[in-house]
Amino acid sequence: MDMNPIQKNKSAKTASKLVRRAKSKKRKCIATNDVQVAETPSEFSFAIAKIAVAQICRSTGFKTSKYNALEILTNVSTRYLETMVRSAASFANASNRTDSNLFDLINGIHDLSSVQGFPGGSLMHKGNLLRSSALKDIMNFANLSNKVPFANPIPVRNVSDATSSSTCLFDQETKSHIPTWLPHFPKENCDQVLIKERKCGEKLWEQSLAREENSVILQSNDINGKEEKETRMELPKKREKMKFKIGGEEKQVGLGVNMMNGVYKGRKRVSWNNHKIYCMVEENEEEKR
Amino acid sequence: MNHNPQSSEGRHDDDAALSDFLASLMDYTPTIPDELVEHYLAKSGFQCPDVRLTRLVAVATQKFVAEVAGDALQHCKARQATIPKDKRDKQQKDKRLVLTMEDLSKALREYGVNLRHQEYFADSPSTGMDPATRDE
Repeated sequence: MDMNPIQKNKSAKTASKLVRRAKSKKRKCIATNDVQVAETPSEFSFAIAKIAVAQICRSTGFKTSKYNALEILTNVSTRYLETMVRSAASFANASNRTDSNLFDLINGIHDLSSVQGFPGGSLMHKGNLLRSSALKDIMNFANLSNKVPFANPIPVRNVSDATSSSTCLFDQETKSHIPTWLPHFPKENCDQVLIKERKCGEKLWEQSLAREENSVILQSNDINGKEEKETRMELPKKREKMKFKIGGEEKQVGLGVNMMNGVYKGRKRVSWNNHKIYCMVEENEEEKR
Repeated sequence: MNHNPQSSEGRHDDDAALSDFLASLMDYTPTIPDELVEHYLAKSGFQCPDVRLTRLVAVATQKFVAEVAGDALQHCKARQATIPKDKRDKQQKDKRLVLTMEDLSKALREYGVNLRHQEYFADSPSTGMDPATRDE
């Protein structure tokens, strides 16, 4: 958000009692936890929303607020926003679009303001959406209410980091779901390298990367077999073994096999499902030995 | 289509007003910051590169919050007005406008949100009450 210096001064002045109160509350929480940052992104966004809601409350005339009340109002308003936007997105999807437009948003606004009712609500689907009175109300509100800009500009994470992570799609540190033993993703211009290599001949990307790194060695190597061996990349970390345990002891699993009928004779399991589990349990026991 | 010249003029005015409003959203700074709205937009699957729509969402939400807060303020003022005059001095401290759960729940009920206090269990009916009111 680009704010000119005048607005900044103004916003500094309008740092209201409510906001300060909210902040002090936040500080208290932080002091008790000894953590300087919000623990989750949702907490962070909620804290920001709380400040904004507090500012709005102050602009309507409240001097102070109970902590719970402010929190609930923030909760309701964020839900309101999300619901409105979600219904707008669903309107867009229903008409085979991924990007929403003004009409979808107006429909979303209608959805939420129909609880209260608005003039022309009965002819909602006949009239022109752009002439909806719900939208007009919002226009009037925006024109008539006094504008209170947000108290403090939100600190944005380093922009260069964000752009670099977007250009190189695979930043290992940001992706927590990728196991650590997998080889690192190529750092820069990964897609370009890939395309070039593909055109020359089908090759896996780790081979191409390894070739770049070992290019000096590869030039001296003439034999293809050796080259292939060298290009096999070592994993950065040894992959840990995976074990699956299915029940420490024998368990009779469903499928009605434990009924004393033809299938279940003389304590011998005929069901394939149980047979499988039985075998695996035996294997487990062997391992234990 | 428009047989009535007045209505067509009115429509033109409406369209002009709408386009003016949308244009003015470019320079408008809502109380709810753009970054916050964009976070919630992304969370809900709303894709739109237009900043004006983001601002419109922010303004709509701001209007909702302002309306709820305004209703709560009216409830608050009405509640304070019902206090008899002899007691008003005693509760002069409470004259400040405070957003309380009581008023907020009344205000939100009109918007379809049912808000309840937590159940309060006490040994006797007078346990949690103000000592001043307990004497009566």
